[in-house]
Amino acid sequence: MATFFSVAVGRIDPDRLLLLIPNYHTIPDEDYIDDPRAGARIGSAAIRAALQRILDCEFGQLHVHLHEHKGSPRPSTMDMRETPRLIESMVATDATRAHGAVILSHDSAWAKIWVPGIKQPVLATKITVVGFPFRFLQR
Amino acid sequence: MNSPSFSRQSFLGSMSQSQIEHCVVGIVGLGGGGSHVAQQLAHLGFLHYYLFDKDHIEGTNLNRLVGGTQADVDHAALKVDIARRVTTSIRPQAVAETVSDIWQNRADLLKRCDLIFGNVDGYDQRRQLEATARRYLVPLIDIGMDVVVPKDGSAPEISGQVILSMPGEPCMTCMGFLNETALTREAAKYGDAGINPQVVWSNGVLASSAVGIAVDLVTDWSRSLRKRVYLCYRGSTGTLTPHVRLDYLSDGPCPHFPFNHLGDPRFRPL
Repeated sequence: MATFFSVAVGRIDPDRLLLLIPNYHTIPDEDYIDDPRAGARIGSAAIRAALQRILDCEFGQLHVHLHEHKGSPRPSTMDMRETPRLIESMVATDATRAHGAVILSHDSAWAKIWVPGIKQPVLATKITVVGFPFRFLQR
Repeated sequence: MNSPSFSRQSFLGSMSQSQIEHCVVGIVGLGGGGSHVAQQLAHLGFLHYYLFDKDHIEGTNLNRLVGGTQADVDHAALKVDIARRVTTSIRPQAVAETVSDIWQNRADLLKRCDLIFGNVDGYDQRRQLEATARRYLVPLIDIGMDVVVPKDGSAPEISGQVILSMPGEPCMTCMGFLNETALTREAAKYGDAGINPQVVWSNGVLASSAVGIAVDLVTDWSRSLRKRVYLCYRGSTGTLTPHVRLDYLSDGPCPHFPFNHLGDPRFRPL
């Protein structure tokens, strides 16, 4: 399973950011590509659609996928290889927005965000799911 | 893991205490309503607070400000300091940052909150607080009460409300609580607010209900809180009932706070 989140930024203080995710964008079945090395791999059409959303909307984009386990997820070797390339395309599309990647597990999450004006990507330390009910995905 | 000191609220769920302890709460207004909220949250085990109120306690507050004492009045203690004393007396490990200024001057601190309790006076204050909360996707639980004393000598009535303004869900304007007529009427009376009658028990009912909503939101103990809340209070009957307007709300997105207004405001080149 993969998807994209839209993301806006609020700055809490010079060193801390609040990333706001109001909605998600599903990826049509036909935009996945068959790759036996990965649980789910998206194709160029899904990436183009995400880049177009960056141009059309007021938001950056986060690539999101699920690791099928409980506990803190970690990026796989393939994630570490492919994610920076995807982010590079997003930043090239609009460098004034935050972009990044999120990995979900069944009860936790990992997120790395590239934020304008900050050289190194930022790792999320607290993830709150605002809804009925609340969930705090602590890392 | 729930500690033995919370065994009486273990029905809230095995993870409930962890959820409560991780929740960062903002309480805006620490008078009759907010002081109840702060005290109850501390008893429940909430540990992270941002407390906002610019005022000092006065003698007329003692009829309803929970935790306030005559000594506080004598020393003109800040309401935020009283609330911090109450929360940290109950839970010494609690951390409470206080703002003794109008909340708008430190609205940036509200970004750090997972949940905001609004105990402010007036419609315009509510509108401003809701706009800030919505901008940063923070649920707001608003409480308020009013006492109507008819001029014809008939019995007074206490009315009040508890509203959960949840990001993406109908806002207080959608629910009809905030409207241009009320805001205009309030603006016309600016500087002539007079003395608003307030009493401790109705503040307590409204604050307790607000805290109950917060705990349900954070722990999901009832497994039934799944949509907007607008409760109205009637003092003469002691009742708190869902407002009839809830039946007529659309399920569409809130048109007053669209999602493209999220995050810090940015300059946009023309």
